[in-house]
Amino acid sequence: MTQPTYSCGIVVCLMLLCCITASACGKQSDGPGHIALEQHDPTLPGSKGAQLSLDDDDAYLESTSAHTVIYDPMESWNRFWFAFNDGAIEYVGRPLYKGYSYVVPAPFRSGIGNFFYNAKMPVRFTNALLQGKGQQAGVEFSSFILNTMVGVGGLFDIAKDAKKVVEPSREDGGQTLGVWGMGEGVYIVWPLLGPSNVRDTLGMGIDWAVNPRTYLIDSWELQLGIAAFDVFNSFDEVLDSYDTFKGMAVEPYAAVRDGYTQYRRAQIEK
Amino acid sequence: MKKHHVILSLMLCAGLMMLAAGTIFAGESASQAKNTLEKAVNKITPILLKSEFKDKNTRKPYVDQIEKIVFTVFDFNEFSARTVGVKWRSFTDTQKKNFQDGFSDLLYQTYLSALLNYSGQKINYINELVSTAGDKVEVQTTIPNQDKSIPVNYRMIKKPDGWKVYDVIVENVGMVQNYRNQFQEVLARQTPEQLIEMIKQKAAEAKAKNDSANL
Repeated sequence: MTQPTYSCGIVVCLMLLCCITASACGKQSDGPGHIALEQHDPTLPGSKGAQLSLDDDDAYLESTSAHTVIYDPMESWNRFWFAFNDGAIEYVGRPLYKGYSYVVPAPFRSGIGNFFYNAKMPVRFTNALLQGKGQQAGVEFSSFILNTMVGVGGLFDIAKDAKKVVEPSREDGGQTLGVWGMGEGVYIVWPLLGPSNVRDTLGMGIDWAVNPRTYLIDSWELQLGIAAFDVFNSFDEVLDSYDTFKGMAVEPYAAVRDGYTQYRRAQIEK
Repeated sequence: MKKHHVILSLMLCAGLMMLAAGTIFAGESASQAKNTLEKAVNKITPILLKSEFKDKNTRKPYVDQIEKIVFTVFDFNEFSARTVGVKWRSFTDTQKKNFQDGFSDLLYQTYLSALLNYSGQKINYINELVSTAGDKVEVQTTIPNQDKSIPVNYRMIKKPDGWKVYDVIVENVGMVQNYRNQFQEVLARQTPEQLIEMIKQKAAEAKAKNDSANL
């Protein structure tokens, strides 16, 4: 009886946080550190989408606004955790993964990755349904059956090469909330979890609740451990995109903030 | 009454013709832009596969060759102006030149390892979007990479000397937009000179990293 009440409490808290941050965005405080991003000219086109359209992108020449409105009132907090995460990646994640990838060769890692991906099918399936994407849900379901039955419980991704009605697009809770019309809220950098926003944070909560792991495993420590191992096993993907961004960026914090936001908006638009 | 009919049908005809002309025009823009891009890509990819290019010591002339081809199809001035925004006009000519030198060096250094890793993957031309005025085209491609394919879209604009790329959108993240966000952040507090210095420093870091990896 206590457990549902507890999770309800968390959801309510998150909702409150969401409302507070949303209203905070309404009245922007213009401290000395605050700049261009919030001073967006509302008459300019395409501000909420992932990209300005071909017809509208000449606006880039005529203004100084950044055009992607990203609310970042917690910038100094976010920058702190951004630096912290950078350290965690460079001094802990990368060396650990180097050792791990040496001990566990690539085919095994990909097998483990496939297993986790397959096991999380209910998350993608439910979110596809919640977004009204029937074909997407169908593809998820049939891939799951195929990989579980023929692919040795999901260790082999047999379904990858099968011809599908639609390409699977990794639906998640954040995208579902986006499709339902929820705004992204403020930009948040979480310790260890990295870039996010209010919507994607709530989305993570949904995905955690839908994940069979949550029901099958009693101890939350073990759940957390498995989740962490899942991320760590395919850490090379994280490292790859992180290195690209960091290498190219003149101002890495702004680059990641914009890259994350553009990427998520595009996923939701699809 | 009859007169009305005639006028109406004339208008309808004119409308249909304009519509048809528009589609033909759009189709022409799309294929011209795509052909320009494809031609340049087809010239560059064989160079990337040459062992002389992969070898650090014999690379230089091939890099120059690639650079030449890239600049026939990529409008770096347009790209720079869009990343900086309206403040670009207040940059002096020297500043513009220094900015572009540093920026192109940074892009080259950061993409060098990707260029060296190219092993003949076929680029798929998926679709073209055309702007209403027909002066801009987005050529949508995908590049296979390991077990997935990466969408790369090139935005091109019609210039007196042909179609030129002015923005590249990789996995839905636009380069102009992304650099723009960074440069706004810097230029809000610092001068163009300082921005140029930061870009140059970043390029030097990237070069040092490539050197230490013996690329």
